[in-house]
Amino acid sequence: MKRLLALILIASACVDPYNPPEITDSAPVLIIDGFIKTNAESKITLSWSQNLTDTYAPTFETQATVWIEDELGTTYPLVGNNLGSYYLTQQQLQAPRYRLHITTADAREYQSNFENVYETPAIDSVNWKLTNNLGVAFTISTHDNTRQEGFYKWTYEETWEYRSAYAASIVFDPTAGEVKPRTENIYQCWRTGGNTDILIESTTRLQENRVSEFQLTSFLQNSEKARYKYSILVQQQTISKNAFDYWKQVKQSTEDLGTIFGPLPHQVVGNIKCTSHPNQIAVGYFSISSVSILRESVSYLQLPIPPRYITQYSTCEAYEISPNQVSTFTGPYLLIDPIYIGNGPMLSGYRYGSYFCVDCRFVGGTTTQPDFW
Amino acid sequence: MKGRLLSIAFFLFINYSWAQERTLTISVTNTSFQNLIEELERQSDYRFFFNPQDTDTLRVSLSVNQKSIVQILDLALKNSLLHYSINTNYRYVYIKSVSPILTDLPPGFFSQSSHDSSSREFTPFNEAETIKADKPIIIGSRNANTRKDATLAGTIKNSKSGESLIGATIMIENPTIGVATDGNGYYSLTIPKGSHQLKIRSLGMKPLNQKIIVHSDGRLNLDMEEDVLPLKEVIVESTRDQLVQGLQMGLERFDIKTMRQLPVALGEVDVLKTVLTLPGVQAVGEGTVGFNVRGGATDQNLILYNDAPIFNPSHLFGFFSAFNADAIKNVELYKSGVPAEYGGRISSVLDVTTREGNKRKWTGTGGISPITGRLSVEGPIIKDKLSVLLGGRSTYSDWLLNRIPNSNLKNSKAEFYDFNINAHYDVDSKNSIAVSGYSSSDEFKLQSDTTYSYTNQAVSLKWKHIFNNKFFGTLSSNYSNYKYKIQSSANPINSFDLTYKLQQITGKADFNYFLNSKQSLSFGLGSTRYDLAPGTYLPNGEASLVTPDILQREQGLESFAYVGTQVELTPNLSFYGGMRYSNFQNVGPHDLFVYSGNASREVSTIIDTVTFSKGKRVSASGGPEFRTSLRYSYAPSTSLKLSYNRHRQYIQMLSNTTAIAPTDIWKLSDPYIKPLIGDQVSLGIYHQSRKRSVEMSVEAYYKWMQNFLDYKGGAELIQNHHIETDVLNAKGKAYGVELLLKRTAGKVNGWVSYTYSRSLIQTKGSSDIETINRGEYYPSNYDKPHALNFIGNYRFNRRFNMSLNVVYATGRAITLPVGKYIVDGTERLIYSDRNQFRIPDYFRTDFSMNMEGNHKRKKLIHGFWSLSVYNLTARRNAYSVYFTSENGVIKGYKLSIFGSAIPTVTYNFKF
Repeated sequence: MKRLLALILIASACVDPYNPPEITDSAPVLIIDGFIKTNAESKITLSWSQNLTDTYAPTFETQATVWIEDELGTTYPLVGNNLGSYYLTQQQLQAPRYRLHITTADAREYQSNFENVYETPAIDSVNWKLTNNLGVAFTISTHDNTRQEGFYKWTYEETWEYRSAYAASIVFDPTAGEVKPRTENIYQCWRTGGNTDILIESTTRLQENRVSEFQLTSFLQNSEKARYKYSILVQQQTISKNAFDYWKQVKQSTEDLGTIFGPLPHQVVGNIKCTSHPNQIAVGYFSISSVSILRESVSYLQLPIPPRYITQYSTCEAYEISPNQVSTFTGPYLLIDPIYIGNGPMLSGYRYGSYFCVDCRFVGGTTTQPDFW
Repeated sequence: MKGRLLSIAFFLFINYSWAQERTLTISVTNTSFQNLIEELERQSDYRFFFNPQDTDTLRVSLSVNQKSIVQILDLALKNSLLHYSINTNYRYVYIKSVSPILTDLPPGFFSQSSHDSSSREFTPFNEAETIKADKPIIIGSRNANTRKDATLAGTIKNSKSGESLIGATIMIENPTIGVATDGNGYYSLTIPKGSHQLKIRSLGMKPLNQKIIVHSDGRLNLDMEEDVLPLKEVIVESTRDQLVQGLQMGLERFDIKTMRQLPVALGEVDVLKTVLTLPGVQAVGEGTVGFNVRGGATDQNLILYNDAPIFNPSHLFGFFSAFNADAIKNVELYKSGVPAEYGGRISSVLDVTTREGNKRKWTGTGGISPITGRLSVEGPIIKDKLSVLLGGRSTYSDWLLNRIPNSNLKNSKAEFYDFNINAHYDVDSKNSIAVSGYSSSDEFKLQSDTTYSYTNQAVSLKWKHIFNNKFFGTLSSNYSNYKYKIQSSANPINSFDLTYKLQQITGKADFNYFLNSKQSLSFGLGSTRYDLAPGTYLPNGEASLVTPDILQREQGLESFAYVGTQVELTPNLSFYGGMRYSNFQNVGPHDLFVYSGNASREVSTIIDTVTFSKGKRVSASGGPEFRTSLRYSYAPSTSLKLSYNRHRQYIQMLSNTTAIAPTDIWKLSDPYIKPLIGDQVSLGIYHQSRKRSVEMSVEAYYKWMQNFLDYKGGAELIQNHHIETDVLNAKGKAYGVELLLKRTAGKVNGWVSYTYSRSLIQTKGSSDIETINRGEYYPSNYDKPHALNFIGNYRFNRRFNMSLNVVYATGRAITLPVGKYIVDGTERLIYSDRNQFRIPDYFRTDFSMNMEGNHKRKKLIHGFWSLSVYNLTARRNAYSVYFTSENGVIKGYKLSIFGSAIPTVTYNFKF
């Protein structure tokens, strides 16, 4: 809607960065992230909320006791890794309803409502298509004939191949003070990311429990993700209507605010309460269901080739160093390759570039090829 | 004044200091005064100066032999109100009505009690603009009856267009008795018999002083001349006397000429933007037409367009109000002290009245600005009897959009239009009929495949009958509807049409009875039928899998009767007492969910559904609404007023957004959504300077609101079959003080106002989910404690004026995030209690200049240019502040509607 305003007022409306006055009085709130999968290993992460201005990583609740229980009182403990994550190995969970229980290190008790176990239908397809604005969009379609209306939540893991600006074939060995051939690949990398928004959809307004081409993510045809190959692994989860409402509100209160007709922000209340301290709030929604997954990929060979790819390496430059100066080679640079006079074998120097431009791992990728590649 | 009497102010003269000279012999029978003068000039060497208007009805019969000119004039003018003065040096005779030309005598020196020729009146020279209709009008016959008082009634009209003037004041000063004309320009004034100077004042009209001699009851229709320079001394001659001496408090009245002076955004004179400059009126932000009066919500304002309510008064998301200013005659905003004839909303009444159309000749007006164009044409169908006014307005923003070289805008459009037609028919002196039609429409689409559109339509019909001078009645009926539609065609599977529709039809009768000079009575009754189709969600296209979802219709019947009386208890003390009784029934067919007793209302607690058949009563509510005001004037220029009001409102808007959005839903009261009840007590002190050019007022108020609607976090309002599960019952209170200092005359005029006000809500339900902020009072979305407005006009000359407008207000209350956390790899927010923080303060300065062409009367087209700069300082005022997660990181943003100064040039014309 703000785009709309801009358009009507001919670029008169505007959005500026804003930092609110110091907000100090916020006591940390327990954050419960994750859900129980009936057909895979489950992970629930516990952490504490931070002030808006905090720049460090959140504090995790590493010493909690976590379990789920059915209505008969049978409990299934989750095992902590001392880093704030708690795991439940895949096992038979046959009761119709379960709830989550947490006791934190400082003896606060948290408990969720009993939640129904949901069976998630298989994903019909994950497709990619070209969009009008020179993008590639991935969409998902699914349906469920067993239930009248469906509420779905998706998460995905995306992996794409990328290459650094220069393929380094040599390495400088500072101890020996000489140049050696490089044996290890630092040119070709794979990087993995996840969804950064809440992907939910309901079919309540439709006659069928069917989701048709719900868009998960998109990227530009000239971006790094389109350069070599891109693969996406989508996980689908059926959730309850209440869980859907919860996620919708979380989504609204972080993603859709501030527009002219936008809803007013508000505290979102999940299904987990602090039973020992009723005034304390907790953030999170406990769900339990099976999941279904599907992987889909696209390679640059299937996409239109753009005039030019725009990647993080677009501004990279290589420099030259003469062979007799190479012994003094220091700083955040890596050698790339030798330069010969004519066709060789006389060496005129070595090319070098910054770590960022030469080592693809520098921006967070890995050189290990994923097994699904 | 075409007469030979010129610039009277400079003549000194000697009265009666004249030696006897030549004698004259005259014999005339029933001849005109003109003929007599000619005869006198022929026989003497005197030259006579007089105003033919004063003398054209005078017939003279005279037979004298050898008399002096003094004797002849004494005889000739004996039975008239004319006076003569003779200057013997120059041999000039001045003949003037009533007062001989005086210089320094104070007012009140002469008795005003009798109407014979010795009655004199002091006319200060600085009222040279006043039209002196000095020929007395004689009303009734001398021997009619022996009552002491007589009632005068009639209509005040614009002499040029023949349109009646609303809110013109008619008063006499000795004793001080005054009334204002009603919505039809009609007045009724009871005054002692005898001679009086009637003072008639109306906004934008030349002041009119009319001598009258009242013998018995009678009719007096008067025409006022338009002030040819509409930019002169605009602000409110008529309310000058009204402010201190009127009983009404919390009333703001202005006409199109006042509005035209204010700087405007986007080049359109805008009723609602003008309303926002008044103390006690605020908006949540720019570009919103919804306004908040004294801490009330936007749906608590009754917006009437010729009596028919308008539900969405905005165009283009609120950048324009939906009223074409060319058609508007008068706007009144009641903030408190609302008379009993108005009802249905608890906060205020904004009564917009359109012009009747010129009854004498065909004319037109129009304007062109960068975004809109408008044109109105009006004229007589039957001269002096039947007039029509047609007006239209549209935007070419769509055309502009297509010219912006931005591919994102290709798929967008935004357009609106409105159209109005009014006809006014004076059947005879006792009956008049007015018909008005209005239609406005908006449609927009934002680089997507979803089209939003909405329309407002209103029709009203009014028949006024004058039974006698003291009693008249109006029978009227009006119909209005509001609908919106959202149409999506993005994905064939999900394509839908969502429509909302509301209509209401009202019939009512209103009567006014003027008992005597001290008391008047108004009473009436009526009924309104509501019919709502609150949501129809249908598939759009063959491939669409959308399930049709139709919310059940709602019907309601609101009936009311009222009586009110205004009494002058003593010359210093006046009282208005009014009582309105309203009753509302929500009627079937209707299926009502029943919720289990104690639990909070949620889908899971529905235990039964009760079906009501057609016409069956689903719920009923109602009760008396008292309206009282009291005025005490402890000095002629100072008064104190007190009022108490109660209002009931049976239809409320459900809105979970800050501004009025096109998707907001109006909902009738039902067993779960109780009618709003608002009470207001207000107290004011009003003072006028001696010359009446400076006004000061202080008004304080306290308001209580019951059954205020609040929402659960994340309430779903569209296509909700059980809206009662998402809304909460809250209480509201608001209080404040408004200070106003206003200069109404002179080259420099304008006003400064400061308002301190609070608007608070308390939501305390039986369960946690029904309680907000632990049940404590919290500020409403539109709570802005401090507000300062300055409006100044400077008139360089008759054709050129400038104005400056400065607005400051505290930022409105909002909910801000107090913490953050990461879920799914993305930062998310934890919000504070509701409305615990504020957006940055608001400050804006606007400037405008109006330039008129020359004032030749016979020009084909009168044009004037106006140049305005909105937000002169280019301050980026926050509309809202929000936080959003982008690529997993929380960022705070401030959205401003106007990010720069916005200059606009508008050309307005009249033909």
